[in-house]
Amino acid sequence: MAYLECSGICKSFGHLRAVDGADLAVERGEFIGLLGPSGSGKTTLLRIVAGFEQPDSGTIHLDGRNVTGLSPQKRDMGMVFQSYALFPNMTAYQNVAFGLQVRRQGRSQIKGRVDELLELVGLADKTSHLPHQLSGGEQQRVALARALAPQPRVLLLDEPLSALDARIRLSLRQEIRRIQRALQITTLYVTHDQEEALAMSDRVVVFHAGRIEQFGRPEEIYDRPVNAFVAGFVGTTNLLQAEVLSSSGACRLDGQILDLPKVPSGLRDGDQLELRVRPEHIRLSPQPGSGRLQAVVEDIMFLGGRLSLRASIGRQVLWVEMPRGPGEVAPSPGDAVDLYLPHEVLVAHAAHPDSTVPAGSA
Amino acid sequence: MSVRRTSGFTPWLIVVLTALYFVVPLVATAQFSLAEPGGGVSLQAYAAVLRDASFWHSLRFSVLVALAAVLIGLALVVPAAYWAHLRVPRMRPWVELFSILPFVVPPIVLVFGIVRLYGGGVGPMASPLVMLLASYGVIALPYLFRSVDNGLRSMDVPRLTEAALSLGAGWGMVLWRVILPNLRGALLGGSFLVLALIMGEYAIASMLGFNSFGVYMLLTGENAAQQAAALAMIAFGMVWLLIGLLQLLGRGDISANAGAR
Repeated sequence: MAYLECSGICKSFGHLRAVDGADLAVERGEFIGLLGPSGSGKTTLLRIVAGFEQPDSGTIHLDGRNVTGLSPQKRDMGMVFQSYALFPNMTAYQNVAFGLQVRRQGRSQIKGRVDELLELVGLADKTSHLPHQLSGGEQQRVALARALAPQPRVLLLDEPLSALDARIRLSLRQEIRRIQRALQITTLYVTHDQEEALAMSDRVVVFHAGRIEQFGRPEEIYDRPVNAFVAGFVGTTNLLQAEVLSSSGACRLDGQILDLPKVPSGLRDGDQLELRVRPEHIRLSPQPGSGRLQAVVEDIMFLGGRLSLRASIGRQVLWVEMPRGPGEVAPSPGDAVDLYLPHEVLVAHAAHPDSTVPAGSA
Repeated sequence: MSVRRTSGFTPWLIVVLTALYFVVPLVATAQFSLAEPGGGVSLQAYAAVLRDASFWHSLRFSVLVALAAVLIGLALVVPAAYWAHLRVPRMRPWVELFSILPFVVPPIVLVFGIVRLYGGGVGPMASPLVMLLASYGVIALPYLFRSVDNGLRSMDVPRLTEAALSLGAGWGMVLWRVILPNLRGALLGGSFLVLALIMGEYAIASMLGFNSFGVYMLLTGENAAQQAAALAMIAFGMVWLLIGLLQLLGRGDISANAGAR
């Protein structure tokens, strides 16, 4: 059995199924990113693990022990909130000391531990500041120290960086990861920011409408999304419609022929097919062999080190992203270009009539 | 342009008129309380009041009853308002509506109702003192709820509670160490308001046959006009003292700094 194990967790609020049968097994010391759009159930699952909500069904085991019915006080889990939730009447020191005082530790023992943690989060010089005298980033560091002080068995973070501005978000995310690695603490990290989840996590859980869509290493999630939702939500994905011409792999895409290594099983000639491809996997330079499509440049955006290009193939639109060397001349709108879609990056599956992921969605 | 010019004069006029409205009766009362029958100034009326044993008696009674009423009111309001904020935020308007009901019911009706209902009975509720405290507790509700509700609104009650719970604190500890310290200003404000209100309350106390401070003031007014004026000045001074205390104790209050975050 894994260190932290959620099995069959369900939770409804009125008619809304917030979490719909979530299974999650986390090993000791792992950093797990819970990723999904807002309302997808990731925060509800975190709150169930913390003990703030009771699941309608399902169990939570921590280190082999069933903690499902246990109150939050007895779970030994540290929690960090998006709104920091520091006690406004207490200094940074007192905030961090709170969990230790509750456990009736000795004064000198508490001082040692609090100083150690404020040092760890880089706030050793601000121990006597009240929360409103600290910046947002500093407040969240204090909150992190406070959650870690009683040496919890699991650390839970609920969108801890969402209220901060971009620069601080970036540095604090590296810091959280550094501290988590140093302490080897099992961590669940809720975020709606896919880059944050991919950059920080050992493994990522992708949520959609209360369900876990995929659970795997960041590279797996990105390279081999299990369905159209994950492909569209994590990174950018182009979605192209095509028609199967023969089971050997040929298909028609707006009048052009594209050869696939193989057609998904169960599809016959004349069936509709969907192709997914990441913008950065498409090449512009003409390559020999199959996988070539002719397109017209619609728009081009200069993004510093990269170029982002919108191209049309008949009535279908796709995005291409490519590196740009110094002085390199980019195509202009209206130019005809050859796009090369390597076989290994094309994902093909039967078309869903109610496909919800448009091409190029972030 | 014309707006600018008006704004220079009109506000001042309003301030001066308002000040006159409040200050003139006060000055007149003070003057009357200090006047000597043959002309000149003396503190005789004040001395008479302060020498009167029933002044001290009624004052002590009213202070104790008012303090008890505040404690009763707080014991009802703080947990109820906290729970409403934490668990049933949607019910908050109803709690608020319920708490302002005493505004709609005049004290005389309230006390009649209580006497009619419990007066002939047995047990603790039949005691006039219990009836008095119960009535005052009800009168205190709207003031205490308003200020406590405002105080709770200035903090993120659910998150603070959850943070404390996940750190291992019990409910008593959450209230005592996290919620109440951040409510200090609100609690003081509401409590002093209720204290001042109950100190001068007349209808309920006299109906139940208590010689409270309010009753004493009225009786004095009927018998000795000058002493009544002196008493009014003393009561006025006590209210100012309360407000001063409030300012002093409320200083450094966190909810006042909340805006600086």
